[in-house]
Amino acid sequence: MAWALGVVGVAVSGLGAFLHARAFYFGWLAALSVWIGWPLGSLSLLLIHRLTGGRWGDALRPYLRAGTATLPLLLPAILPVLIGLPVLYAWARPEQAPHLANSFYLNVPFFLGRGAAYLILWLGLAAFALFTSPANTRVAAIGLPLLALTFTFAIIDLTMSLDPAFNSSVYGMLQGAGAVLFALSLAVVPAAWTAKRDAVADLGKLLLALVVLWAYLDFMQFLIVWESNLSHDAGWYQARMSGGWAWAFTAQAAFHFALPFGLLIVPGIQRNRAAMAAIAVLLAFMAALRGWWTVLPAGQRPVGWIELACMCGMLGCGAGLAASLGRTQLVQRHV
Amino acid sequence: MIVAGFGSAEALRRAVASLAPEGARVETFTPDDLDEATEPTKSSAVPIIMLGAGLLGGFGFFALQAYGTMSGYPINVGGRPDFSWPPFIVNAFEFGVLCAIGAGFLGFFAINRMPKLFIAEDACDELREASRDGWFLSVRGGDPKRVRALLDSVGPIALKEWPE
Amino acid sequence: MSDDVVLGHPTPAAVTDRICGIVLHERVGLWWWIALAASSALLGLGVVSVGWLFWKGVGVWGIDWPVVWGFAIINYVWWIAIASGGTFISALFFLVRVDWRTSINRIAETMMLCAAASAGIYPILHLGRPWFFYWLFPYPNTMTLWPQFRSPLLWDFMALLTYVVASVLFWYFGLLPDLAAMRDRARGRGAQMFYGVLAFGFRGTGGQWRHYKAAYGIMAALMAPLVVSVHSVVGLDFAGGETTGWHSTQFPPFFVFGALLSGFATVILLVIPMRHYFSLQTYITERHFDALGKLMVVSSLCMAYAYIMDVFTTFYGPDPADKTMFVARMFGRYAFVYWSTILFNVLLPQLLWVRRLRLNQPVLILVCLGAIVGMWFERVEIVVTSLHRTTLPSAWGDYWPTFWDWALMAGTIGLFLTMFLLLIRIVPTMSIAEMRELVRKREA
Repeated sequence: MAWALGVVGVAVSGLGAFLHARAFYFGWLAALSVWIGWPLGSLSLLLIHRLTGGRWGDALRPYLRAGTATLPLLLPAILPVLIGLPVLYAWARPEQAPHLANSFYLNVPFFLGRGAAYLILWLGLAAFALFTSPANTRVAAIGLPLLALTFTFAIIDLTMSLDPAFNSSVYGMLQGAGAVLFALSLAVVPAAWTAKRDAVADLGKLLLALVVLWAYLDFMQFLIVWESNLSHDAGWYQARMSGGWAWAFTAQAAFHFALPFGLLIVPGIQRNRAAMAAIAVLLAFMAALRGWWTVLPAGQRPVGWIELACMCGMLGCGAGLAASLGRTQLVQRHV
Repeated sequence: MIVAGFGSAEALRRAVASLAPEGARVETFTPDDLDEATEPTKSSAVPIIMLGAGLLGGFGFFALQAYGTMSGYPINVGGRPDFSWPPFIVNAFEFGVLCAIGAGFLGFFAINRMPKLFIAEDACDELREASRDGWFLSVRGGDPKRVRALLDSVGPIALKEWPE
Repeated sequence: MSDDVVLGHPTPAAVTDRICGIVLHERVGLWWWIALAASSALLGLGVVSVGWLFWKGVGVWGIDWPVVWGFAIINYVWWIAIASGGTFISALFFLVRVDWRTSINRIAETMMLCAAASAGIYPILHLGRPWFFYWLFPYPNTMTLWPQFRSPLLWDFMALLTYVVASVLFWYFGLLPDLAAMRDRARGRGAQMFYGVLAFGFRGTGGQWRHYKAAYGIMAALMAPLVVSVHSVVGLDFAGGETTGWHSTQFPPFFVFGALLSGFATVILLVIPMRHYFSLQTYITERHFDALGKLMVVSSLCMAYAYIMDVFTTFYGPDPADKTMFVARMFGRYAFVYWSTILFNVLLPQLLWVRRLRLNQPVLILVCLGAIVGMWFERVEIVVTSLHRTTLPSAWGDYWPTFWDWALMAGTIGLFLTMFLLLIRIVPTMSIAEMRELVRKREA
């Protein structure tokens, strides 16, 4: 079913690319920036669990491994972004790039070069996490800081640089927390049913901790920008807190933080499988909304059928691939 | 009143269970929680008190700030609106936590009717072992002979009986 | 080398007798008196310098335009960070049920209390007119004035107030069963009365334990976010301003990382001598140093991440004044501050990747001392080098501390050590109740 959704989504978004290329590029970038959190967030959780151990990781391992294994999907998925580079990014447009203060960093050759380096590192780490025995911890300890750094710079390139004036030092940490939360939510949806009773409560606590961490970082970025009120930073929020996007902003506070937080602190809910799965689904949907809210205002685009098709196509293909790979020897060997 | 001490939590649990049908008032004195299996948050009112005090303190302080800047003393600071909700959240959180922890501290003492520096059971010197490795109980009321026999059958390491 | 948190098989009774005995029956060594004499001398110097400050005003310090935040803020942030690390060990690792936390959480909590006291006096003194400090609190007054709720400096007051009060309550609450144990072990009438009153009549009844465990769990769950928020507010004190180098959205978590590094380092530095002088090798094992050493590496890596983002966003961002300042920070007259920070906070702790070095106490002491010095340098870097190259070049200037700056800093170190030395002679240095539970569960 996930494959069907994904294939239909990709087909419809392909149609959208012909009818309205700009909508497609921004919609695809939003979908990609959400989906990338799945394999990379799963990978980081796998590496963390190698170092810390714990029941939560044992319960999640098959789903995290399946999520990590979908990373090669990034290779075809990044193509529309590379083709649409001048549409998406001011720094990729020859007429605007020379006027930017940070064009020494934001330029097409450097972007492609470092992007390739990130990709090689991620694929290597994913292969390490999938093929080596969980007892092997050394590479995990070295890989985690590298993953954190490369993810930070990759997400700065992909989404923060849409507004070349916006400059937030917590951005990578914030998006990283969001990515891990997204990957965890997607793993909890099936794990809430398959995990042992005690482990379900552990998953609830972990989900709670990540919701709080994400909300904390997000609020700190917002508060500092609000307090300082500098045009280049506040403008980023201005675009995302006016018109219809104000609703998306409020919805995130309510459904990406307040409601899941209020539910997850109740011990009874932490043990209820159905409730846990429902909360995880809600968090995953909110992550998609968050991706639109981050990316689309940069292109002055609302959420339309093309954007919806891109999101469904990307996440559907990701889910379909994860489900298919989940049954293979690749994922099953170290479960 | 009878005060009896046992060598292990298991023995004390057996003694308490055997006294249950006697209709006597039993209190335990233990070096650690005797009833670990039960979820503490479910069986105590303290978490609810803390939650209530925390919410009251947090929302109360938020309202106080809103009143102070909107009505009490409106002042324009670099064009920020009078109702500056983002900064208010910080103080509201801090004050809410202060209220919650304070209420937990005071609520614990209130629920247990502490401080209570002296209790009747202190007449039994061995009770001091309850903060070391002794598992004690005191029995008030009931039929003293039957209680005594029941306790003896478990095998106490210390036992003292005196009229109330 | 064993991975045990407790060596051998001490019984709950032995645990109680041993830990109570340290305070109640064992004679204290000469080292304690020497340490107390030295730290009281420092404290005396601090009292004199506060007296002189009150007499003359803040002009006795080295602060002046443009560097108006000198040692008072540097040392305040430094101390509060050290305190926060103690809370983390105590509260966060309680929540995640780490077994090695049991032996050291009391040391960490006592440390946090003393460090919070040393931190707390600085903002008050820095006010210039400290006798008006209560103006910060919203209270009905004849001037019908309200505090400026939008200012991070006011949040700081609220956060510090909450943190100090909550820390004392959390520490005391955790002590209750141990004070009861002390009361029951004390032989002298005076000691019995003293601990009896402090224990509030805690006897370990069924109801007391049930409510106690529930309350303690929630308090720990609140202390963990509280300490993050307190140190984040310290970061917001800077980030809310538009001074060069301060307007950075990562400051709240960045300050929390620093708090972890310096707090863990201080705990290790206190645990090592206490383990030695009180012969606590049974309860504080290689496992503890191994775990704490790993935490040092993790927090140091977090610092490295924050430093990288600091450089990156400065030069990525649009503000030329930020870039000028950062070049001055790295290559100007305060360059030694910046590079010391990198050396002590990022490079030196990497030694602890090696297990043999984590368990080597001289190396561990060296790395921890380095981290504490490095974190102090980091605050100098943030406060002084940012302010000395502000946006307006005509307002540039230098800062050098005076004798009285150093005297007050020595005084807070004296206050910290004096309080700590006295407290470890009054309260048990380990949580007896939790330790009993730990050994009982291990045997079961």
